[in-house]
Amino acid sequence: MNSFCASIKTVLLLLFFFYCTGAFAQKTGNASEDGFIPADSIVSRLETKHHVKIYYNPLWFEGKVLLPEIADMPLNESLQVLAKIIGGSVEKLSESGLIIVPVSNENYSAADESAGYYRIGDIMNYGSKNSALVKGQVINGSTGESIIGAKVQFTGIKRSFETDRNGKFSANIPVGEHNVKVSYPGFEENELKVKVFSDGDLNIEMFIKNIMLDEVSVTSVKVDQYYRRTKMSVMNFDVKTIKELPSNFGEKDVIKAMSLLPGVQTTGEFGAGFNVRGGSSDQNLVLLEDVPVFNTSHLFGLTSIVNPDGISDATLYKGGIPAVYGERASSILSIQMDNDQIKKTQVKGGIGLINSRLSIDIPVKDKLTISLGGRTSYSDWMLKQIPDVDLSKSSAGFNDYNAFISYNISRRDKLTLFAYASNDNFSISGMHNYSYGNLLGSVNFSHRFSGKLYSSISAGISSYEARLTEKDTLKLANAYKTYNSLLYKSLKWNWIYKPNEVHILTFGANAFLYDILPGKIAPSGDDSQVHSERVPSEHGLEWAVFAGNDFKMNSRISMEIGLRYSGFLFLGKSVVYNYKEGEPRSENTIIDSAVYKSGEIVKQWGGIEPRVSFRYNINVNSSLRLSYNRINQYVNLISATSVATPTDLWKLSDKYNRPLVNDQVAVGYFRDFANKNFETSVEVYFKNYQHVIDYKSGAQLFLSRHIETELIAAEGKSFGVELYGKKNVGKLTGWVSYTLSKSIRRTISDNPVEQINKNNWFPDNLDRLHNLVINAGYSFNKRWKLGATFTYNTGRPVTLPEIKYSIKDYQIAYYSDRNKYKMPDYHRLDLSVSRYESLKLKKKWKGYWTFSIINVYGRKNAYSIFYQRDRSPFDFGGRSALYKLYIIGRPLPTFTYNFVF
Amino acid sequence: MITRFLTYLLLSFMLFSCREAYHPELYDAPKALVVEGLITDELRSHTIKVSRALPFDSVGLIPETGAEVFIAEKGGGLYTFDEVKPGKYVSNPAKFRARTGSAYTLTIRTKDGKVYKSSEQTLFPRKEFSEITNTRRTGKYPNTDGGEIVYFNVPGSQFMTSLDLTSDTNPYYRFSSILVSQFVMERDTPKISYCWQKFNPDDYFNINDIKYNSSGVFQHDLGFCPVDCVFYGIYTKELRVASGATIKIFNTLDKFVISFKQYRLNKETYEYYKSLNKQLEAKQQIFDPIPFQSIGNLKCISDPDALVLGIFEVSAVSNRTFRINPLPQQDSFTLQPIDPLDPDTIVNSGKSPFVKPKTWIY
Repeated sequence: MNSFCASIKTVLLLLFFFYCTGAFAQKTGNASEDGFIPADSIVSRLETKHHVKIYYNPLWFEGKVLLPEIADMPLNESLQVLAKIIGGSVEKLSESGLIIVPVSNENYSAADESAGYYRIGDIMNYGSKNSALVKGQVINGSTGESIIGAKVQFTGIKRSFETDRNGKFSANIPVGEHNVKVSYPGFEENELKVKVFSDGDLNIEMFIKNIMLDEVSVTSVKVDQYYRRTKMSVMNFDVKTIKELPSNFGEKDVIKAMSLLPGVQTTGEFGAGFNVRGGSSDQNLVLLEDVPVFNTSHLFGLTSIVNPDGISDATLYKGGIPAVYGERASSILSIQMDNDQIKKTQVKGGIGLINSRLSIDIPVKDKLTISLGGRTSYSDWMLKQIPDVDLSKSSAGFNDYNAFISYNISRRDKLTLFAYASNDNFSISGMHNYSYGNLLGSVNFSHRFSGKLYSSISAGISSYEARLTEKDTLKLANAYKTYNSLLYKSLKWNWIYKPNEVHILTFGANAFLYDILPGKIAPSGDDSQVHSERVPSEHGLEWAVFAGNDFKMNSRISMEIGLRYSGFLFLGKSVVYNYKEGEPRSENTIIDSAVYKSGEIVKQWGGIEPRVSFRYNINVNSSLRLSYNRINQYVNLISATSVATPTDLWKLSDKYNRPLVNDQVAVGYFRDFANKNFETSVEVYFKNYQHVIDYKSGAQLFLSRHIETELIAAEGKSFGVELYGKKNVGKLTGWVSYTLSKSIRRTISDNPVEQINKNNWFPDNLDRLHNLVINAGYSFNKRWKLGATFTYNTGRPVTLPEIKYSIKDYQIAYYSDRNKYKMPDYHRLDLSVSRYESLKLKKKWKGYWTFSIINVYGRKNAYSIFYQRDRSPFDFGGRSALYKLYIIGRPLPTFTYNFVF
Repeated sequence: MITRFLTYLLLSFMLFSCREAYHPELYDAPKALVVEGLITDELRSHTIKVSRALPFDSVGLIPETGAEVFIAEKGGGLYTFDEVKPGKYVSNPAKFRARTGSAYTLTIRTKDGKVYKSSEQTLFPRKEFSEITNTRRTGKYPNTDGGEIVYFNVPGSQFMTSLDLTSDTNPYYRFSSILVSQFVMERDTPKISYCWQKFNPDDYFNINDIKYNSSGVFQHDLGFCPVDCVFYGIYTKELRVASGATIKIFNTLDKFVISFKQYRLNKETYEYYKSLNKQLEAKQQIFDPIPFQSIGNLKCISDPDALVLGIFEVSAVSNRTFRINPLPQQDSFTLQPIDPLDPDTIVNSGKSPFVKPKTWIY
C-alpha cells in the first residue's frame, strides 16, 4: 500500500512539476484547448521521436490526458510518467522495443515475490559491474522543493549519504537489493526497497506529517519561482528554511530573520521595519500575498506582524529587482501564505510568554483549502495585575488575524482570497497612547491559457491607521488626540509566456491608488482647549507597465532584461500654494494658491525603470553575476525622528516633492564548495539616490498645511561589500555574513535655511560601517537542537549636544552637526534550545519546546542617546546629562511551546 | 502562583528598558557667545546677560565681561547698558524706556573685538491679561524613593486665562507663572527665620499654540501649581543634629502668592522659543525628534564663522499677581489681587533670620 501511495505521489509530483514549470514547453502536436493531449498521443510522439516501438493497451489510457511537454522529456522519464498513470512499469524488450505493463515491476525480488521494489538501472546491464552509481534527489512531496540535509541510508552500507543544497545525493553501492531509509526532522520517514541493476536514478519524496497530494491541483506559477534561480541579491526562505530560522521571542520571525542576512539591518530591538543596503524602511515593499503592508511591526518592532505558521515562502530582493516589481526603491519582500493542498485538517499553534497563536487549515472536497490564523498578546492583562499605578495604566499589546482561501476551480483556473487584520496599542502611564493597525485583503485569479501562457489578475486593498493620544494630567488644556491613515488599492494583471526553453517573458500592467489622510487633531477630554483640525487628504494614482525577458544564451550565460515604465498622478482635491521664485519655501513666501477639483490632475511624474541582470557560469560551482536596476518611488514615509514610528506620515510625490529615484548596480561572485554543501558569495553594490526627502531643522511635519515648507531635497549614496558563507548540511548548519558599507547624504540647496551641515556629505541615520552576523544551528539528534546567533554592528550615527547655555533658567543644549558622532557598537548573542516531542510517524500531536536566552551576556546596547534635563519645579536651572537608552540590558529568557496536529 | 510567576516573567520583559549615563568623547566643539536680552515696555531697568557657552560636560558660568553693549532705536537714540555684575549689563531707566511701535537693535562688542548684532526687533502694543481662573484639583508629581520614581498626588490649582486672538495680527504670546510660598520657621531654640520658595510649573516656555489656535478666543493653560503645605515642606519637622539630639522645627505658612506675566512677542522671538521647546518638550523617549541647532536673532557681523546663541527679546508685558486663599472643602481657591510682583527680583529660595527680607510680600 505504501509503495502504491508512493507511486501515486510520484506521478502527482511529476505532473505537478511539469504543470508548474514545464507547461511552457514547445507545442508540437494537436493539443486540446487547455493544452492537454491524450496520453496515447504522447506514446505516438515518443515512438516517432525516439524510433522505438512501445507496446501497451490503449484502454489503459482512455480518457487520460497529459501535457504535451511530457513527450519532450527524456524517453525513460516520459515512459515513467505513462507507466505511473496505470501504476505499472516499463520493460525493455529489445533495443527498439518497450512494453508498458500494468503491474509494477516491483516483483523482481527472488526472496519475496510479494515485496515491492524500485528498480534502478538497466536490467540488461545487471551483473556487468559489482557496484553502481545511484544518483537521486530528495524532495518535499508537498511543495516540490528539494530537501537539504536529508539522510539517505542503504542497508549493508555503513556510510549514510546526505543531500546537498539541491536535495541531491550520489551513492556508489553494490548492485543488488537494498532497503533505503530516508529521514529528515519534521518529515515522515520514508523507507523503500530497491533493486540496483546498474547506474541509475532514485528520486524520493518526503512529506511533512500527513500531507499528500492526490491529484493535479496547482495551476498557478509564482513569478518568484523563475527569478530566484538566476538572480543575485535575492534571499529566499521556504517552509523548511523558515522552520530552521533562529527564534525571536520563541517564534520564527521571517522579517526579523531577514535582518540577519547581509545588507539587511534594523535599528535594534525596537523600531519599525528594516533597512536594506542603506535604504530607509519605507523603501521596502513588503508584500503579503501581493498586497503591501505599511507597518510590519508589532510592539514597535519587537516582533513582526506575520504569523509564522501561515507562511509558505518569503523572498527578499535586495537588488536586481525584476521588472514585475516596482513601487519602492530599495527592496521587495514577497511573503506568500501556505498554498498547499492538504488532505486532513491541520492545526498549528504556539504558546509563548508574550503571545500565543493558533492556525487551522481545513481542506474541503480536495479543491478548496481554508486557512485561518490568529495571534494575540496578553501583556495587557498582566500589566493590570501589577500593583503599580503607572504600570497598571500602561498597556502593550497586539493581535492579528489572517484568512486564506485557495480554490482550484479547474486544472487551469485557481482562485485565492486573502484577508489580514492587525492591531497594536502601546500606552505609557495612560498619558501617551499609541495605537495602529493594518487591514489587508486580496483576491487573485490565475488562469493557464496553454502550456506556454499563464496569466494572473489580482486586486488588493491595504489600509493603515495610526492614532496617538497625549494627555498630560498637569496640562489638561493641551490634551489632544491625532489620527492619520492611508488607503491603498491595487490592480495587477501579470502574464508569463514561455515560448521555448530559452526565454521566459513576463509582462503586465499595474495600477495603485492612494488616499492619504496626513492627519487630524481633536481635543481629548473636557478640559482640552485644543481645536479640531484636519489636513486635507492626498490622492494619487500610480501606474506601471512592464516587460521582461529572462533568457539563457548558452549553458554559461543567462540574462534578464526588463523595462518598467511607471507614472504617477497627484490628484485633487487639493490646494497648491505657489512660492516666490528663488527663495526658500515658507509661509512668508507664498504668492498665491491654486485650487484643484476632486480627481483633477495636479502634477504628473513618471520615468523609465530599466532592469538588467547578467549571469556567467564560470563552471559548475561558480558564477559571476551583475545587475542594475532603477526604481522610482512615489510615496515616502516622512519622519522627523531617528527611528520610524507608527505615527509617521506617508507623503505622496507632489508639485514640490519629486519622486525618489534609486539606481543600483551590483556585482557578485558566487561559489559552492564540497558538492554544494557550502555556498559562498561576495557582492559589491553601489546605490545612488536622487530627490531624497530630508527636513529643515526643527521641522513641524504633523498637521502642516504646506508641508513643502518643512521639507528639503537631498541626494544620497550607499555602497558596500557583502560577504556570505553558508553551510547547508550536517549536524552543524548556519551562515556567516559580513557587510562593509557606507551610506551618506547631502542637501543641495543654495539657501542656508534649506541646508544641513552646510551641504557637506554627512552619514545617513542608517550608516553602519561593519555588520557581522554568525548564525548557527547544531542538531544533537532528532530531538534536541541548539541555535546561536551573534550580531555585531558599528554604532549608528547620532547627533550629540556639544555645548550648553542657559536662557531664562532653562538649560539649552547646542547640538553638533547632523550625525557627527557614533553610538557605541552593538553586539549581542542569543541562544536557543529546542526539544522536539514525539517524532513517531503516526503520532497525531507533535510539538516542540523552544527555550531561548536573548542577549546572553547582558550587554546594554544603546538604542538611542538622548539629552535629558533632570529638573524639579524648584530647581530653576536644572541639571542635564546624556543618557544611553537600552532596550534589553540583561539576559532575557523566553520560552514557547509550538504544536501541530 | 502561576500568575505571579508569569507576571514576574512579563515584568522582566516589560521593564528591561532602561537608561544609564553616557559620557562620549566630544571633539571640535564650537565656541559660542550667549546673549540673553530682554527689554519690555515696563519702566524699569532692563538686563542683557552676556556669557560664553560651556562645553556640555562641564559646569559653571563664564560671564563675558568688559563688553560694550548698546541698543539702537530705529530713528532714535543709542542707549548704552552698563555692566553691574560680571556679564550682566543693565539699562538706566531714567535714560531708556522702550516705546511701543519702535524697533530696536542690540549690538555687542566683545573684548576680542568681535561685533555681534541682532536683527531689528519691533515692540508691539501690550495686550492686558484677561481674567485668570483657577480650578482646584490634584496633580501628579514624581519623587525618588530608593532610586525608583514614585508618583504622588498633590492638591493644587489649575490656572487658566482666556486669550482673544480675534483680529490679532501679531498673535504671539509667552506666559510665565511663578508661585511663591512664604513661611515662618521657628526652632526649639528661640530663633525665627522668614523663608520663601519659588515654584515654576513650566517645563518649557509657555507660548500659545498658534498652529491649532490661530484665531478666536481660547482658554490658555497657565499651568498647574500645587497649593499644599506638605508639598513645600511647610509643616513641623524633627531634625537630628550632629550631637545626636533632635530638634523640632515649626514651619508656619505665611501666604501663597502667584504671579503671572503675559509677554507679547514678535514672530521671530516666538519662533525661537518654539524651536527651543522642541528640545525642552522632548520626553526623552525613543520617538523624540532628531535634535537640531537652534539659532536666535543675533549674528556676528565681524566674523561670519563666529557662533552666537541666545535671543534678544523685545516684548510688551502684562503682569498680574494674586494671593491664594484656600477655601476649605470647596473646589477652588480665591485669588486676591495684590500689587504686581516681579518674581525676577526674588531668588529661587532662601531664608532671612529674624528680619523679613526686602522682597517679603505683604
